[in-house]
Amino acid sequence: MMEKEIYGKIIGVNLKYNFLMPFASALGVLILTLVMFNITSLQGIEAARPIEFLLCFIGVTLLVPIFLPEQDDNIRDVVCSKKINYFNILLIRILYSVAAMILLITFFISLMKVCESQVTVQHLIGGVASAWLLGAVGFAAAGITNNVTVGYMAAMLYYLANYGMKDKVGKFFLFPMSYLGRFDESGWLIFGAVALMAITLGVCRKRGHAAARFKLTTR
Amino acid sequence: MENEIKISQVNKFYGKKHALKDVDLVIPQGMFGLLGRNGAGKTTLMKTLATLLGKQSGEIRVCGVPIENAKEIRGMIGYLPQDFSMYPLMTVYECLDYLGTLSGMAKRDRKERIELLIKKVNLNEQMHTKVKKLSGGMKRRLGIAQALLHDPGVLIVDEPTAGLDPEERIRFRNLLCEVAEERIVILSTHIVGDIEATCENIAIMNEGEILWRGTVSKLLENARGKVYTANVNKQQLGEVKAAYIVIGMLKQGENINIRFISDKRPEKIYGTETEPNCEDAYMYCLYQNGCSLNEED
Amino acid sequence: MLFLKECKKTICSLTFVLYAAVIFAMYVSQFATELDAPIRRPSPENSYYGSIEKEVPEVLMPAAVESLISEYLAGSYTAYPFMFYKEVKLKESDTVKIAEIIEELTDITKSELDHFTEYEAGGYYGQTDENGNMIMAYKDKVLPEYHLSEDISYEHFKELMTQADEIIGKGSKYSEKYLVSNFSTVPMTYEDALTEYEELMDEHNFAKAYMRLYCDYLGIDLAIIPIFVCVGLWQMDKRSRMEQLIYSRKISSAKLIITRYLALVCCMAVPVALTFFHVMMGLHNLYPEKNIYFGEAAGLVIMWLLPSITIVVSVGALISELLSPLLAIFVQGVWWYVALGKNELTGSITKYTLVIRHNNLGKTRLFREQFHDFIWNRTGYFILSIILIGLVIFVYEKARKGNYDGKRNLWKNNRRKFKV
Repeated sequence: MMEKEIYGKIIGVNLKYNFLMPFASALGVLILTLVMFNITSLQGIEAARPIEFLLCFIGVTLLVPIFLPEQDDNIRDVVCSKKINYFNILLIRILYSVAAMILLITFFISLMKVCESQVTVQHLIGGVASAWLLGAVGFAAAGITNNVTVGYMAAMLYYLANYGMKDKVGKFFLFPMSYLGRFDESGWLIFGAVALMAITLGVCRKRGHAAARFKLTTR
Repeated sequence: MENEIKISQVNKFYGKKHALKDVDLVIPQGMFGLLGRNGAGKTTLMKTLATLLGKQSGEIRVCGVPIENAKEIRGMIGYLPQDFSMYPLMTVYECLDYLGTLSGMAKRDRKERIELLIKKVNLNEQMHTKVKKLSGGMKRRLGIAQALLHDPGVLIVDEPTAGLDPEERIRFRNLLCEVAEERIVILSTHIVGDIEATCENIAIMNEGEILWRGTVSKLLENARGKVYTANVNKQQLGEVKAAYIVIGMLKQGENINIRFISDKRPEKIYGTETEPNCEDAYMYCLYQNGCSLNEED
Repeated sequence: MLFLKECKKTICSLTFVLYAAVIFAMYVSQFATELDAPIRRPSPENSYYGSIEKEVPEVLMPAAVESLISEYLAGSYTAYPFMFYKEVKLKESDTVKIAEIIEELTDITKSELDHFTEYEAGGYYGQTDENGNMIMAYKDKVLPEYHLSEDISYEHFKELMTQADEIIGKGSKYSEKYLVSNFSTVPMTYEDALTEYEELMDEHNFAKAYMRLYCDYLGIDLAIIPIFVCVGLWQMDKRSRMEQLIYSRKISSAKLIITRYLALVCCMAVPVALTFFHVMMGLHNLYPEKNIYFGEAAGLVIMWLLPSITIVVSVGALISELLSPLLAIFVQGVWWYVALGKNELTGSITKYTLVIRHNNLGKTRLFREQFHDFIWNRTGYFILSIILIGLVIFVYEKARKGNYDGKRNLWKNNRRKFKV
């Protein structure tokens, strides 16, 4: 019961203080996509373009700032030295951020459907996969370097690499639907995203334990 | 050139909060202590003197130069903020060299001063150590070195001993006394011991106002005959606390030896008048000026 | 010297190292292959010399009419009003006017158009196969049969296209600006190819032609990547809690900001300069018999790329100082995307766009035609950078004296708000 209360509190505080700005930015990306791309009466590849080319930045706006609150070393040390594992807090933030990402992309694709575009579940999965992988690249860079700016930069560089090198990127190509007309690559992208995030969390967990140990020995 | 800081009728607001209220102060050469509780307005006054905050009214002259002349003032003062650090990846030498450049010092002067100050603050061995690897005390010493780098006539140090261990604190105080021989040093703190050990002239601030200005001996004089000690049992302690301002307690067996403030000889218990120390005098000053002392701030 | 110290700070930052890596990677992956072999003079025996945008009424008119009929049947028209792509739906009265234009251009009537039900837009589309997997398929465009009127002069045709453009809204495919590029791409003749080659290999041009393509690739990166280096360094004082130590120094805000700005810009110019020298060396090896006008080529690169760096750094510094570093990244990201999305690969140099594209070694004449806009654009952004950096100095001075305490820093705000 107490655990429930504690985690409820953690979720509440995080949503209130650490989620609104990233969510507002994600909404900004969604609106920009609506402004820049036509979403009416599109089919197949055409319909995949707005999703893969711009909407995928929703992943960056939601996943990279997960590390922002603890960017200050002092705050990170304080948080890491508490009983509730820092890893768990990150996990909570990841869960609600990924949920918000899926929600926003679903909303966008529903809008396309309303506008008579022929979008399928594969468009949705493909969109989520691209956004997730792009966000995960930024998440990993931000987590490993403990610098959110580097996180955004890494995501942008990955996007540019995909933009310039096209399918030479291989299995983790961000625009498989739009460039190659392949709607079955999403599995790789999601696998890549989850693996990157898991590795980053592993690094953070180790760092969290190290910080806690350091705190204990210096007291 | 005048060698003092004159502050007259200075007011400062943060929105509706009156942070400095008609502050009048003359700070002569030597160590000057600014004492007050957390949130009393010490840092605001310090920052105003360091040209980092503006004032709404009043006049400040640092060695005859009006505070509005920020560039000239910045060349005259050295400032050590309460909460500071430096680029973590730079070495001690590089950091000082960088800040010396920002103070407009020539390369040769920088080299000479840095070597001198590094010795003075006892960081010789850490000269090429990265800032992130320094301990809290070392960082503070590096802080004082950077503030003295351009040999300023005025040194402003805000809560410099907070977080230091006793040994480091003593070393730091001595260092400040040494540099105060030839300049104005303003030391702000809420730790009375720091002031007692170093300053002759002090001011006490509370809620943006100057409650007291003068010498430490005058402050002690002011509290003479107002500080008492008594031995009480647990039952009596509650009554004494309700009637007087208790400023110290020491358990001795079943009884408690208390130290308290009273304007008149206490009637409710037998108390012995005692010689006030600086902390007593400070507490009495707050009490005298109607500050609530028994509540948590 | 402060400038050198600021340069050292910049070069040692992680964001700068990444920046340099991107510039080199972009150069190697996108441009360096151009230096593998020299451009050969076209031979009269070749069967194909590439294509060219050329105003050929016999090609242009049928293509434009087909597009108009197709858009009429689809019920929506593509346009680029302001900067964005837009799908325009017309009201009934305007649809009638479009039908009248089609009627005048062809032998097909409005009623025939409206009763044509087999219309297909054509192109690639997704469909599911027998296993339920999405596969891509291609469909041809299906339009009603029609013939172009023979007695329509090209001048009158252009007038009708202008009318169509006005009905749809400015910036449609039929506007004078886009008519040729949209509908009149023709195969080059040997003579065309020879002219193009001779223009390209002109002594004063050929190094610049390579530089145009080089700038085209690097310009994409330089309109976005410098923001990260700038923001990373601009927040360094705050992150290191060194702000007050710096505020209280004697140095003037103008000197400090300008020195930092110059250090950032100069450091970011170094990887560009290195790749530029590599191109120059490559050209010298590729064309040993030719004079390479180094100064002219360098001038073009500076003119093209320097304003990109300066404007991005200025915007980053101003928004970071005024509001928040993350907002600076967001704003620049949006601006970059809009600028890039709007541009065609070659030949759409305008007075205002941030990213200038000329993704072609040739098309020298096209670039020359747009050179006035190019100069206007680059000079404008350079001047704007200087104005913005003036504003940064103003805001910094305010903050330094404690007179500006707006929502300056998201890190700071988050630090204060963070509660877990």
